Amino acid sequence: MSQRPLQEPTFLILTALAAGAQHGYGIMTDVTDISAGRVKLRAGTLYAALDRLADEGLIEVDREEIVDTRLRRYYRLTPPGAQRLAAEVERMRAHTTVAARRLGLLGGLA
Amino acid sequence: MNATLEARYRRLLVMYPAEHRRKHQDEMLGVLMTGARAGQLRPGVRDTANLIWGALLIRLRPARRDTAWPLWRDALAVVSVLLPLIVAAYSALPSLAALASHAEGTSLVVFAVVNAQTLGGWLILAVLTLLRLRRTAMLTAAALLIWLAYMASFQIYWGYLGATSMVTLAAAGLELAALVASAGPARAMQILGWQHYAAALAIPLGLAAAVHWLWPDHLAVSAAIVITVCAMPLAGLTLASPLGKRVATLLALPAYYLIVYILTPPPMIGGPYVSTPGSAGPLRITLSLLPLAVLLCVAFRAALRAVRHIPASGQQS
Repeated sequence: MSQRPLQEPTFLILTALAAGAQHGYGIMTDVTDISAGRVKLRAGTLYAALDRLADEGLIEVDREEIVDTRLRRYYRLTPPGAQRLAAEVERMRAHTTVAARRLGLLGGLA
Repeated sequence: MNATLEARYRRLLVMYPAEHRRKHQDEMLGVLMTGARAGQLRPGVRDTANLIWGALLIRLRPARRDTAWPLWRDALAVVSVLLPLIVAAYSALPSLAALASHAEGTSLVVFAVVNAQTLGGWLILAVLTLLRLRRTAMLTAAALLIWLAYMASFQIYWGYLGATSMVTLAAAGLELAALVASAGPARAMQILGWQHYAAALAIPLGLAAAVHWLWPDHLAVSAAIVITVCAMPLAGLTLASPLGKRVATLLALPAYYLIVYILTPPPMIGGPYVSTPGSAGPLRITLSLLPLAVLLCVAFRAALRAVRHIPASGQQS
């Protein structure tokens, strides 16, 4: 694959949206859950990433709602976005499989 | 519910580009306010830092919708072709004159040899860019920059930093940055006409001749003047357009050295070829090297961006 690996926040945002459309705050809490509290997105990083992903056509706006006078914009994964995430999962799986196998071999020899 | 905090967040969001704010400001405020603690009055330090970081990311991103950057890229492409012509044409005359009168003293010969090496570098660059060999020209510009920096390092060692060294050093830095950050000569030649090449050769030659005979003691500062003076008609030829203005701005960089060298005390005692170590002072050295550092940062960033985009676009020549 000629594509660059996804950075972790990007990967986690796409993963959050893989479950269905979510709004900004929902993505933030979901990413914290997925990463078991290790990755805490903040507004600056989140919207820089959302803007870029929308530019690249990996996500798109699903719908808008007004809750307590506040705008909530829901984002969803586009088909290319889903493909990109799937390709990334495949890439990581290939790496982790080899790593696990080799570690297993090492463990067996020691 | 908490107007003060919201107003403060709103003020922070001013850092973002207008277009981004129009699209995302309400949303971002929503997220920030939802994440706020009850009774919180001020934006948290980490949230603030993160907002600044996000604004930086967005502003530094290779702009797809931004129209300013392609113009600058075109201007850099034009500069990458014109600059070697200007510098080579300008330095050809003093080199020849110094070589012709080498009997007058050994320092002249040293000057001629050093200058001829520099001139050679610029001539090679001029030919390479005219042949549209962007990559080779890039490597040559980098080599020239290293060579000139090596020469200048002796001057810094002696506490003396001549204007000529700085102008040529900056020109080499500008050339490298222009080649790296733009599509290079191939693009420039779609923009330039024969009159540009003629002007890039004739004006500096004429000015160098005038300076050489009328004002021989100020060869150093004249390099800055020549390149700067060239900027105007060349930019004018490139139409009185936004592109032309940008070309002029880039070529006017040597004017910076004029100002620095007029405002900081002169480092040289004696004639143009007799260098007696004076005290350049850290201020002059800092001010001299500053634009070079900026240029190298531009080149470095553009190179990084180019490397990242090779697999995606495959348009690298």
